Amino acid sequence: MITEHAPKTAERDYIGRPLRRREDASLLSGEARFYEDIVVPGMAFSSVLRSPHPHALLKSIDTTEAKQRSEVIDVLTFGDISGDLGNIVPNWLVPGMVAPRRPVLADGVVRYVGEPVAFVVAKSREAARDALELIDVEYEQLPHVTDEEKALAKRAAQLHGELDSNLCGTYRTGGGDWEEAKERSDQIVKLRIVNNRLIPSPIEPRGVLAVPDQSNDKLTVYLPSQVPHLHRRWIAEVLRLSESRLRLIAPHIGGGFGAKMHLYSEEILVGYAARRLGCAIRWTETRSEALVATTHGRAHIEYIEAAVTNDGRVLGLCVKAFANMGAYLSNMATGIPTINCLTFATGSYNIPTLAGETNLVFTNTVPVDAYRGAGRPEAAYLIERTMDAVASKLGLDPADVRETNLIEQHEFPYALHGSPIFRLDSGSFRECFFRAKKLIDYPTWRFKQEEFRAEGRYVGIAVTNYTELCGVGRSALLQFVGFDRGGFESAQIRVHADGTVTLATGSVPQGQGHATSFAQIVAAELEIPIEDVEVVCGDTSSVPIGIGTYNSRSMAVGGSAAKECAALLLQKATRFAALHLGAAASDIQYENGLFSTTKSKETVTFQSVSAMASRGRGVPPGDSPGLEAIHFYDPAEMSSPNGSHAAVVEVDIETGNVEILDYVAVDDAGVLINPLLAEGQILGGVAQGIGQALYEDASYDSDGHLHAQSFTNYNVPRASQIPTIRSTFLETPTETNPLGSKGVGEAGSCAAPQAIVAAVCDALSPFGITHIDMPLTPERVWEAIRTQRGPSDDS
Amino acid sequence: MIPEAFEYERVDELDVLLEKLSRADEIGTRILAGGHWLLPKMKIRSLRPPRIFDIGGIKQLRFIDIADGRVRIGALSRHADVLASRTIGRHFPLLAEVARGIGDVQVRNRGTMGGAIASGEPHDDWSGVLYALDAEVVIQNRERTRHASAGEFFSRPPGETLGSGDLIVRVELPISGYANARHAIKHHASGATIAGVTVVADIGGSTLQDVRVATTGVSGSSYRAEATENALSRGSFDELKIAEAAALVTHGQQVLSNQFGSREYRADLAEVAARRAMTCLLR
Repeated sequence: MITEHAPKTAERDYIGRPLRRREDASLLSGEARFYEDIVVPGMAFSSVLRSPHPHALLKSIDTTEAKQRSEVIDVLTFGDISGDLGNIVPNWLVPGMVAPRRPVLADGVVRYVGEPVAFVVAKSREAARDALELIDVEYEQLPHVTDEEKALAKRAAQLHGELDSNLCGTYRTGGGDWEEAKERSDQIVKLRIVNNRLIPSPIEPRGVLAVPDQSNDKLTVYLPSQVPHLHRRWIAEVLRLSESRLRLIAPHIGGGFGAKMHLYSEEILVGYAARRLGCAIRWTETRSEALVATTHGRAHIEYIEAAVTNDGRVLGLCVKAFANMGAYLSNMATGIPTINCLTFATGSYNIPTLAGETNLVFTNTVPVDAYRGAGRPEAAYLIERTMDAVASKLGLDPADVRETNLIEQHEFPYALHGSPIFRLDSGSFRECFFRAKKLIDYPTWRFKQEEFRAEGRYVGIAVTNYTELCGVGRSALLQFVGFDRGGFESAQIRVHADGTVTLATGSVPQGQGHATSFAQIVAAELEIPIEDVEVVCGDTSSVPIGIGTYNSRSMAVGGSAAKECAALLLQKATRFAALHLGAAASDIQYENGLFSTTKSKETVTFQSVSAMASRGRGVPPGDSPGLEAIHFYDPAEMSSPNGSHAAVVEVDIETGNVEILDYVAVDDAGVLINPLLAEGQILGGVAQGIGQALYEDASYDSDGHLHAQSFTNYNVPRASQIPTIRSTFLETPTETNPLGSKGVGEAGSCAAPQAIVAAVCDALSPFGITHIDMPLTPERVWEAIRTQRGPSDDS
Repeated sequence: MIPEAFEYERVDELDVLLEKLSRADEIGTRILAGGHWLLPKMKIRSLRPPRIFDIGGIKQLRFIDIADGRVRIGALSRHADVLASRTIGRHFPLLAEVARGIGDVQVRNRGTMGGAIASGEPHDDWSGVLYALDAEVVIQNRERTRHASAGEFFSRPPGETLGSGDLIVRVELPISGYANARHAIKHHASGATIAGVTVVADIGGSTLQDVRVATTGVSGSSYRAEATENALSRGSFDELKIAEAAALVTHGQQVLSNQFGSREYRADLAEVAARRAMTCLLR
């Protein structure tokens, strides 16, 4: 027997190394395939006719002329599909909420501009597009309502005949005694804030390609999905097809932000028509179509009362919210303004009392669902705006008010308003806050602010906080809140004969860098070179049943699954090594790819064990050949990342333009697997948060149409609109998972809006401005200043 | 994002094009230059021209030179050409500054000056600037070539100047040596100028002479702000009251209200832009 040496490699401890993304070469060279790059011989194209009205009866649909156009294969309306297809149903239905029927194509009534009415299949994209104009629909317009408060008025237009009103339901939560908190307080601070409706705008619009296999009654669906296995389940259910016959492949995806984890009509229609017509069919969302074809985000109005003492302590919070659901319930819609928002309404602060209520309301608008942060940005925004309102009312420095109320280190784990389930497991709330305050140089800016004002320049400073819970899990608990998705994640590791390994994970990237970060986890655990680890994901035929990517859960849940899976694998490999080295498994040590024993000088490499296992040689008694492990990790509880973001802005009071002079992000997402990727997540999230705060406005006009008709008036921030973001991290490991990692994907969008809005309002405080609703576009800021000043008399 | 079917013809010779234009009787025949105004509109089908002449290959319309004391800019000169031109840099650095602020790199590399001024968009940056610089627009058809004055061309929709068969072939700017300055406030999402004001004047003497103030984006078309010009021309240099002159910039004008800004906001911004441009001019 010979002594083996493991191949020399660099530092094997891959955790915490800022490795560059391995996937970038193929993405940047154009080699990577997105769904639109996949071409199937004989493929047909499709388009969707959408309602031009916010609310109307469908009196008749005549598709004769459209069907006669050359190259048109078929045109489907509700009548054509009603016998074959089920409805679209939500998969997070909070107890007490009602889900009105949502057919795949409009059945007699359209309830929002953009609702699918008919589906065209044609031999070319051009014909599919042209045919839309040849479909003759007779509409009878009905009264409509787009505002979530007005929709609850008795005389408001009613959307769903099957319901008594436009109220989907009312959710209440909280803890402590609000009345008693009011009694004990010196003052009640009141505010009303709007969390503006947003349009998720991934750089790759949605789309789907379905390829039938008629002979075997199978269907392959290429879909940029954040949740491939869930999407397979949902599509199969509506198509009434067994899941085993449906293969779903998520190729490379150009961003999702939550919008690509919901079930949409097109995904069903393409699959249905492909089977019915016996040809592959692709649908590609256009950019302007995406404004109304893909779910929106946020869209809440909150009335807040804070019971405070004169020294700035917040004793209790009462929140009454109105959440716009749109015309139908999208997948997770009911969970977001309720559990995902109200639970975190007290933010990073020790506020023992919460009386929370959310009214979920149907309106004639695009369905609203999860968008980066999904309820937690709304929560962080509402409590942070409250902190500023308290400071303003009491004449205190907003930073001091925050410091007074921040949860102390010794209070972890902190049960949110006494909740038995929701607790902040750990964090560095105060340290992040102090660090952000220091990095932004808060006292200096306060001083400079005065100097600038003397020159007629208006500069504002803010340091704000956020926390959230992410890494959604514990499947067994989730069922009690109506969450029909499961909270685990899957991992499977296959070791090849040459000692290289393939990890299959149920998590799937839309730009996060899974091929890098997951490989780091497996390479670290198996102590092998990262070059020997491949990561596959997004294909239901090669990945064990998993959940997917959302709720900042990839690392915390998917990464933990990969780590534990690798540990399991190593146990089996150790038994092979033990037999080989003639020692007990308990006497085997493993380091840097090398098994050794204290009993002798003999060693064996991971590579050799792989070679043996794959050939069925040297199999330990009771074991089977092959080196492979599968694992499903179900987190016992979620973890609480936190952070503090600070901004300095200057407002041009003549034009209303806001310029961000400095931005500091201090975040604690626990153990960082790859700090470079984590920073990327912060930067992207902050960019979207700044978009919400300053630019993005998905409001409706009085005719029930979106003001935004394209990116010429929906301002997804450009690179030139995003300042240099100074990002730093603290790392407080969580004990809720084996990696110690918390989520980081949504942190930036939970953090930025309040920092920017607070800084702008701070700049404008000399005008008596305490709040402006987002987005703080130049015209809105100008309007707020003008309102406070009164019309100018010098012109 | 798919336009309705149309006939496409590429024409690389000016005389051939003018001949074809004279015979193009179909309503809605369109000329494709850089494509940055026409193509987006066709993609969303708000324009459905049945026939398109692509003139991008007519080399003789892409030039910048000097003749008879005038800077001449060929209609197919890209915004980027204006930005890069040494002639422009020497005589009208303001134009280079304007070019730098148009769209993004792709727009500047493809979009043409002739196409931009032919679009008639109120927010077209060139119109107000060329108006203030007293530029002439040279228009050619099969029969003749004529010079439209700045006032004739820029103060109203281009369709009122351009007849059927007409093509803008170049713009000519008199080299006056006058001082000039511009301030434009742009809409974030679109980059459209909500309010832009260009001021040109002879500042050599004790009073301002030959003052020209023209706007972009403030009204349906560019206009000369005569009340402002008069206010600036009155009195000596040290008596100039910029704020008072700026306050007159929308005097007598129908201020535009659209998706990029309300009437009130735009009127206020026009005053701000005027004041900032004048301050810059006299600094």
